[in-house]
Amino acid sequence: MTDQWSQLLADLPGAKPDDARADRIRSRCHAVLARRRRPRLGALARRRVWEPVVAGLGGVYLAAIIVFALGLYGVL
Amino acid sequence: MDRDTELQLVERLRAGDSRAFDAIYESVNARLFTFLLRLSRRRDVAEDLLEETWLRLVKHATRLRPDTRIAPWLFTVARHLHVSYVRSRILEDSATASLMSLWPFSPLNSDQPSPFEATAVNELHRRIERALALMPATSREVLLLVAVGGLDHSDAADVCGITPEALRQRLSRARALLARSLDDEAPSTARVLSEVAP
Repeated sequence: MTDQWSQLLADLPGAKPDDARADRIRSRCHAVLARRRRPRLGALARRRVWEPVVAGLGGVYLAAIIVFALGLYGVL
Repeated sequence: MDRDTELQLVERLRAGDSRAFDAIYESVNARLFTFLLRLSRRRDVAEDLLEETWLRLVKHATRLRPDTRIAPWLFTVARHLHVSYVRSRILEDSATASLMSLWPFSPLNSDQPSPFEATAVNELHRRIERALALMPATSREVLLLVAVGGLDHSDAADVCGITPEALRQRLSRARALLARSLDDEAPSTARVLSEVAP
């Protein structure tokens, strides 16, 4: 009896929202996903720009220290 | 959708992949909408709740756990949204309902069919839709989650926030209620049932 009821309920016709509404739902969700993707890409791009800049400045600073130290000992 | 595919889709959705969203949407949307429509009995409400459910998914996409089970997650959100909607309507309607019910032609007094009743293709379906519509929401939701939503008992229990044993009992009561309701309306239902599901 239980299986009969489950089967009968499962066999009831389904429904779907009208096409215009379905399109609206989908496009709104796509827009939210796109907005959430963009900051991540932006952060990645910013990191890609800043990493070499910081590394370059670090290298220049290190080189300056070495030059200064060598100058101090009269090597240069 | 098998579990491996589901896990991959969750991973892609977490990364913001709209194609993964589309795949999940295609897989669950009809069941979710049918669940909400039978629960709310109003197409406009069901569509609003459906839209909000999907928006919740994409807004929480980055925070989803990698092992999230998508269908139960969506049904849980949809159910919570429906409960919130009903609570807000109770507050709004409580004041006007008592006055409206005094008017003999009030829509509250009429026997409005649900959207499914209006389009039922046969007498048995119409009776079942009617019985479902008249059933208490807690009974209706467990039947819908299991039979229409296709969730197993464990997932349905999680959606309702109860133990599997409590769900089993609630389901058993709901089925008995449905059977009684159908028998009250038409004593020949048993005969019809035996014809369609021997």
